[in-house]
Amino acid sequence: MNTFATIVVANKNRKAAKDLIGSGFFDIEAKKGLRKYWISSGHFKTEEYDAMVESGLAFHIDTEKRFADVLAEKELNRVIIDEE
Amino acid sequence: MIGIGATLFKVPTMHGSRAAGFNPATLFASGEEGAWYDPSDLSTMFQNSDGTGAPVVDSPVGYIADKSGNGNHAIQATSDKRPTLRQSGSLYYLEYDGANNCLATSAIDFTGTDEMTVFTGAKKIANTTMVLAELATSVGAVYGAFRLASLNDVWRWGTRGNGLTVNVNASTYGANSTSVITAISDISTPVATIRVDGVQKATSSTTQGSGNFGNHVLNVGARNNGATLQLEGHIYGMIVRAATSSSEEISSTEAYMATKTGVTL
Repeated sequence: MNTFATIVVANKNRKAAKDLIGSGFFDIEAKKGLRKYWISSGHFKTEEYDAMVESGLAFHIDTEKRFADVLAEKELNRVIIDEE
Repeated sequence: MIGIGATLFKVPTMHGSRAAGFNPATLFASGEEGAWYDPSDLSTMFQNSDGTGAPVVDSPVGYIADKSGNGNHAIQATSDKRPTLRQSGSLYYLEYDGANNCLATSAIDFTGTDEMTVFTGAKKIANTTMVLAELATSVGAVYGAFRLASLNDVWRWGTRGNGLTVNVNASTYGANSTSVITAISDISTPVATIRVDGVQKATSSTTQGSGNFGNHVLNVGARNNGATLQLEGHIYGMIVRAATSSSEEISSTEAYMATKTGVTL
């Protein structure tokens, strides 16, 4: 089973979150002022989602909105690497 | 070498009947390297990257099999980076969320050729720089690579041997454009051509350097396994063929892809 979610963790919790559910997660960088956050968004396996919920590592979890709408709601600015 | 005659890009007017009975597998009948991904064929997809979990509409796709016979299956090991299988009427597509979705192959050995044709049916929801398909981690950083992408309000095909990337743009295709796109390259000729909805939109004979395409990963829907240039849009099908293609092959494949994409040529 899967749960579609957007999960935001503070920079200080990124390593712990990766250690918990996998190194491939939390690679989307975002900033709010000077604060740095890392985001995963998409289909989480239920055990991955539950682990994040129960860990208390998340700054924010959303299961309803689109990725871009979560960023807007939380006033997070995605860090875009300027590439062509 | 191109060796396909002067009429390569003079494709006759397409007819819907041209798609009937055409099987893209014939594009690989002579052993051409490449890949063919078909989201409308549910038997080729799985939710998990290890090939488990039957595909379900509105659920993730972590594995899509290559129907070309070359075994270049595309996978995504990290669950949140998997695109979503969607259905709209009779059409099926992979929905990429613009966050980090990507499917990628193992390295495909294209070192035996300097020719390439890519066919796809795609929709762009955003109006930004987004990868549909890219051979290698970055076309700008690696020799023997290509990229088919959205760049603002154009579809862009970029290709290179050991020279600078040569880009050709098809305009104007802004946000919410749905298109059948064909991209063709021959490094040694040299030529780079982009066609949209059965019409040639741009071509260039600028040198791409020399050499063949490389032994690189094929990324579908983002750059470098989802790291950047993430697609917010749909992919209805994709064929990557390590050869240039005849006018008949192009027209038949474009007609086929149009039926999969819901586009009228």
